[in-house]
Amino acid sequence: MKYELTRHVHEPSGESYVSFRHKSGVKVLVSPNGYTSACAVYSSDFGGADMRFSVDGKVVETPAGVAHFLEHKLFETEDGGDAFRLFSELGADSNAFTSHTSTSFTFSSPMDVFYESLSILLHFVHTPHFSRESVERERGIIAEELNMYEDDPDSRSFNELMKCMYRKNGVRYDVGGTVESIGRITPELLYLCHTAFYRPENMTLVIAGDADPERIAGIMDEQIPEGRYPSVIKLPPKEPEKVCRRLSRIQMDISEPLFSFGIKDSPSSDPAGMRRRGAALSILCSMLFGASSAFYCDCYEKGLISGDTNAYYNYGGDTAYLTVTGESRHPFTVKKRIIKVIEDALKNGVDESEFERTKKVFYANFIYSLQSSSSVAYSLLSFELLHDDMLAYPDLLSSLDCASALGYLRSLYSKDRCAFTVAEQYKEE
Amino acid sequence: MQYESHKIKDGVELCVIVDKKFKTNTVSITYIGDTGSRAASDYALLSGVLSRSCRAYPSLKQLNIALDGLYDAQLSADTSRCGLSQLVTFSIRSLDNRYSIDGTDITSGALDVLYSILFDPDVNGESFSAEVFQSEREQLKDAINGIRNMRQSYAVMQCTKELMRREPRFSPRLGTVADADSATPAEIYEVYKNILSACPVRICAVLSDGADRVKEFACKVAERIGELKNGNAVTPDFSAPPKRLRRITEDAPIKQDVICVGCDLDCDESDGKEAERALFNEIFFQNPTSRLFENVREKLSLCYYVSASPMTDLKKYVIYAGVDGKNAKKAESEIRSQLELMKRGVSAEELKRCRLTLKNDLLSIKDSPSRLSRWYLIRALRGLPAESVDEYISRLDRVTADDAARAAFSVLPDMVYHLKGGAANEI
Repeated sequence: MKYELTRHVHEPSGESYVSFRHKSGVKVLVSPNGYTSACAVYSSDFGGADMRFSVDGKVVETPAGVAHFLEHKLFETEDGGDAFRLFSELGADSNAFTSHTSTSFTFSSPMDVFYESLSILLHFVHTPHFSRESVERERGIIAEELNMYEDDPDSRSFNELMKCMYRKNGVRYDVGGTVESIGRITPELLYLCHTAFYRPENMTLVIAGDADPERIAGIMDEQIPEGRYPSVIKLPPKEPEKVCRRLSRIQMDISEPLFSFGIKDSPSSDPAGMRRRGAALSILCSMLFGASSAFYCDCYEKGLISGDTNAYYNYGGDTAYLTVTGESRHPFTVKKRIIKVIEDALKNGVDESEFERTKKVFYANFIYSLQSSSSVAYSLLSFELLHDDMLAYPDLLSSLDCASALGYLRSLYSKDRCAFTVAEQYKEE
Repeated sequence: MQYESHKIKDGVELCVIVDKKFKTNTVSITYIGDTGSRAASDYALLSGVLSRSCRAYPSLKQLNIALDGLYDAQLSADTSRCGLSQLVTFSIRSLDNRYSIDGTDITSGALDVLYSILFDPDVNGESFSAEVFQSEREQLKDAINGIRNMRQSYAVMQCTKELMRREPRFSPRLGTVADADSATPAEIYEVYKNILSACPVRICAVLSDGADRVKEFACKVAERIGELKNGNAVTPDFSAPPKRLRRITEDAPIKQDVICVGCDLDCDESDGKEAERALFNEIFFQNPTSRLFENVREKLSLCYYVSASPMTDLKKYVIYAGVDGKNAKKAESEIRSQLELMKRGVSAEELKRCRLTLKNDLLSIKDSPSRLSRWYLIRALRGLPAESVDEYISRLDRVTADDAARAAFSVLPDMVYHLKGGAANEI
């Protein structure tokens, strides 16, 4: 093997992976396992929120939705066909997804066609073909995708919360943009963004399956073009600490109101610090608002909330926030309770044994997330995109304590960082 | 991977799949219940009440704390439908003991919780607690009403209800709000006693280890169950569609219309033609290069999603797409035209491609405890042989292009359901 492999191991669970940097600049992670299907994910550090950047010193501003549009269009091949067909001919299953911070292309296949599938993946991602006609055709398809999400209560509600919390950051827009914004996307803009963000040093390849790193590197040698790539700097807007709006109400055709509560955080540029803060706040959030919390059980038993609530801390790119979301006929009562739970925790502290128990839940969820090739691959990728080592996570969990978690919550919480949105039932005039 | 099945006693069957590669142990108990809308809502209420607490853990909080202590063991209670029969399934998924870092016997603890939930509920004499019942009834009504929030599922459900209009035993999975409203805690306790004494049970375990422990558990379960008869799901008879296509339109304040072409499916689940139908489905809608995807979406740009929901157990088939209102007619016409074109034949190349993709998707079932469990459960409920995934895959090799095309003749359009948007623009 001409590359030096770094081996990552978590002894207690027996999980491991190797990583290396390919000569092109792509970071590669390979996790062996005994599953029937292998999975590869090839990801660019270019997401829906990246709307302002410089290319060789020239500032570019894009309409919302370019990363997602690019994700759709990259599947088109030189002959006007599409990569889905090439994967399908091998029996591989392919897909792609775009978030606010990255765009990923993936396939799953048995090992006997894995290397051929990998060639296709790397080839189509690095070989763009955008004709005016095909971009026009795709615009119609994406417009229908956006309309579908417009009718989706969870998606609308989340987007509204982001709009309330963020004044300038691109996360305030739907990843896919709007029907109006995608109307301004041209083949030239797609080529420009592809050149800027699909350069190898901006890419990560994650493989879960019994693949040989040397053979993977050989395929990368063949499929990743060498060349001069431009210098690209992301220029995220400076975001104020306070939320943009503290309350928003939208109306749509839903059976019961949806509430979304968020606290906006200011992420630091220290990955190790954010890793610790993120893990501690996630545990605390689950402990205060999760299925075993007094908040959840009491609200559920009293009929204040329906079904499950989601409560988590999220960070990545230039954003970080804590959210609690769910369904309730009394969303403003629930909001008061959420705030009271936080303020009581800060004033009176929390039960340390509950914190320890919740750490155990997080450890279990870490193991649960390694139950198939695709979930291993996505999990590895999500850690890598945060410059983190997935297998260091259990040790990080065990090193966390209740007092420091409360300290993080204290530094996060203030009323002018909180936003609340309610999606209410549509009422005809 | 090891598979074994056991008849514990009449009406109680156990299947165990053991594979060391799994990190979890999952055990599920499925009761094959009655048919009809009242049964659907009764079972949904029962699953809610039972999974809420038990004598050992008398509150939701105590129960959830116990599950947390078992490394976030996942208890679930749910209802589903196979043919016209309503099913109630209780299951628990937990980490294998090799991941316990403090010596907790996770697997035994998880089985104890499952047993307590099912056989030691928190009852007041001959009734469930009125307070818990009332709260679960509200949750159920919210869930029934909440289906409307998922536009595709709602449209497919409405279309299916219309297709099943002549079958009084049919019910949507959760029943109706009216049925939920008319139930009482004492009646649901009777339903509970009835499923224990009269409903056939299938226990399915997908394990990393510990088959013996699950066999003991199954015997313990069987002791608490009455003298039963073996039973499979009830299926409806085929009903041919009327000559003229029926049309139903429902208005909603949404942005995107959903168009459904509802069809009768002239097939019998035990006719041995499952593989032919599976390949027809793969070519028609399932594969990323399917006829519907390539034509309705890619060539005509009419939609983002176009798919189908084959329901062989109900002998129905719903094809659906999310479209702009102005394209609804065009989309419907293209969908029907693609169905007709399937009858004219399938190319060797598309058969080869779709067969490969389908085989690989089926192979991936072996990586998923939940899919494996469902694979064997559904086959058992439908009275099909307990064929392994590999055995089924070898059957796919024998399907010809003509066989796959012939399957299209069994899909007979009956109606078009249109969930029509528009008013949302005014919001």
